[in-house]
Amino acid sequence: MKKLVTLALALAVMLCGAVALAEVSPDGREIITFWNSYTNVDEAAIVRDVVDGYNESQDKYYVDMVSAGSDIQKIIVSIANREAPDVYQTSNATIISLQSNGLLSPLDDYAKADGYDLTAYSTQAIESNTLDGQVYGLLFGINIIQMFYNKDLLEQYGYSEPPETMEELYDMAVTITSLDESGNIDVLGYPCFPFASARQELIYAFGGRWWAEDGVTLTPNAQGVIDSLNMNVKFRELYGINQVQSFLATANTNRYTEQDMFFAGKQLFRLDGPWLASMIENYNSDVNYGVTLVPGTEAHPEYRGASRFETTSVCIPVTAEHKEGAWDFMKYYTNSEGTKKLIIGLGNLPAAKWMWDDEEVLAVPVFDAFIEALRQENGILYPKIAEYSKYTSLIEEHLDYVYNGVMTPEDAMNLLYEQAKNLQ
Amino acid sequence: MPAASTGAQQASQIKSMKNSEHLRRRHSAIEARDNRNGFLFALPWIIGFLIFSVYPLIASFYYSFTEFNPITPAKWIGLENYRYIFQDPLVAKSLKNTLFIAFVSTPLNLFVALLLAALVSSYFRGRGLVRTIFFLPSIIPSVAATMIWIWMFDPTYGFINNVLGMLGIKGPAWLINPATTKWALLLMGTWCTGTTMLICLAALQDVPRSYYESAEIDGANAVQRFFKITIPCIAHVLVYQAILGFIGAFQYFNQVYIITRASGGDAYSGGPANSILMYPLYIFYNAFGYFKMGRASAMAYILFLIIGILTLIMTRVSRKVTDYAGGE
Repeated sequence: MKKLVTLALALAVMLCGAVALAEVSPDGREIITFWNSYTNVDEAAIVRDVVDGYNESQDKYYVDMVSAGSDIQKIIVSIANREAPDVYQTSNATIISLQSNGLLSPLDDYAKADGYDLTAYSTQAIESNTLDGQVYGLLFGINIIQMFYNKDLLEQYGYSEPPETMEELYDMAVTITSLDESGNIDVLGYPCFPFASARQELIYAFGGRWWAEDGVTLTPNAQGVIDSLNMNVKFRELYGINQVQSFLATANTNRYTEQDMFFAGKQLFRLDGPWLASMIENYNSDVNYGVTLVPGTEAHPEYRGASRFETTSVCIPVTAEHKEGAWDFMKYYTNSEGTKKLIIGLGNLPAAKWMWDDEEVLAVPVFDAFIEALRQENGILYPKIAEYSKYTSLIEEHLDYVYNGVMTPEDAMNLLYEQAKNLQ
Repeated sequence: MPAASTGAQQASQIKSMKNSEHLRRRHSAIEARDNRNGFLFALPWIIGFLIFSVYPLIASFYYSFTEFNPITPAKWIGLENYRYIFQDPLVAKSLKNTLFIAFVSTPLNLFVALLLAALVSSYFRGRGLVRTIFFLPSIIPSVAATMIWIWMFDPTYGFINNVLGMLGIKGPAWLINPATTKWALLLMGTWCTGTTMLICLAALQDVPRSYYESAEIDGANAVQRFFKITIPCIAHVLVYQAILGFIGAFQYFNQVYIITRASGGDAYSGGPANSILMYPLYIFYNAFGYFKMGRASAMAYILFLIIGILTLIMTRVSRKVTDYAGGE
């Protein structure tokens, strides 16, 4: 019995030791766990480099980085089990969704205690990470969408400049769309792909919004939405709904691969983010492209450049154990020379405003055009309703009815309005 | 009878009774020990069953009347989750999609499996190889299989539309048109019927040859033999497979999860026009996407109820079919 008790005690001491060891680095620094979403080896290496830079600059904290992917389920389970990381990287939409359920720590008190100036970041970027007047995420990257166009195709058909209005864009799209000998679409003129851009930027270009400015009232049957969908349907009916859908299905399967339709010169306009430029380079595509603002309309040229506004942010889960250290690392990660390495390496647009004039940052392909759009600060922020994800799912369902010719835009959007009005 | 003899008999009887009492006690002691040991051996499973099956079953029933997320305490809201579910258009849609898969794919898969089993039950050269080829898809992980099928369904470069094109048919955009997505899933399902095929094959080989020989003598043709002998003799196996098929259809998840992820749409997508939003997928979205764990529990209980009722009906049918076939 005595031996048994001794053995149990020894085991307990070893376990405690192991736990204690896990809390501090070999050189006695407090360990801060950091989960990021980059599972791609090259991207993870860039983040690792920045984390190493922080660790070298520190004698108090040591950041232990894990490439955890972007599945939200992992963070939920870890928060529930009190095993959450101290710093978690995700999108602003996820931050709002997590905090709508009380799963994050507010950052304002840390900023106030530290005298940290949050106006160093884009105003819209901070706003997109704010819920009920409290900031929950610091951010290093902004994702907006603008329009890539195929210069060769435009020139081939006698156009010297990209379109500035949706009406001009439509005319060019109809002129340049071509069919192969089987009647299938060979080159697609109208930018109805990627689907997420058709759901957002193509709608915003007409002044359409899925929600009102209060961020709560849902407006799927707004006139701008209907106008945008009418043009989309007009194009589809001109070439045949099945033909367009077949092209889009193949485009979707090959999106961001070597066979991407834009890289292959088979898409005239592409509403996409700045990362598309580095992909074009990485896949050695010889497509001759330019970037311009998403068009507005003839009646409302001021809608030009309107885009969704998303951020890549870092936050502190409510059950994190080393919040002070987490805050210290977050400042470095989002607003330092290390951040610049991230921005350039990952192809994200910078959220810290001082980088908007940095020569190295502006030298990244297409960043100048996108940063110009950022300066307008007219991005469309997501609504802060708890069931936003569900609303998106309903929007996509009803857009599919329109795209497939099952319903008219008016009928589909009125039905969506009815179905969405009970969302919380 | 002499008194001495009677006494001896009584003594012998008493001794015998004592012996039997002793034996009985000994047996019952051994039995008790065996029971205890048996129980101890089964204890790990019982503990696991209580923790991982019984507790979640009871807990999720309670949670179905609450609102909660992983870190906040459950708040009792009565029937609110159930009320919401009956008003949620996506619940109705996902249930409709799931019922479609259950009621169309189950008989279809069974038919294909039976057809393949009948094909490979007769002797021909290379029969083993053909059986292996038909069975192989069943052991391919569903994630890998689904990725392959996504490519096969590509409207421009995919195998399916190329074959249709050779026949002069213009194939649809399978995974992007809400009218064809579920049919694409059905097609995928028939590819993975190897296990059912094997079970049907075993059942077919159990049908006595003498039945066929008698029927042949009586002039029954192949079709008559199939419907009058084969089907009744293997009916109990078919019904059992149908029950498993139904339960499997109500748990349909992997394929649609992969397809919706691979299509690069919204994170909580149910495919084009939510046409492949299956009920289990929607439970998952509610729990881990919308953080409505109480609502997800309520949805799971409704699913439990539906599967329970369907299984009960199928079991009754199975009993009748088994009686008809003369089996146990």
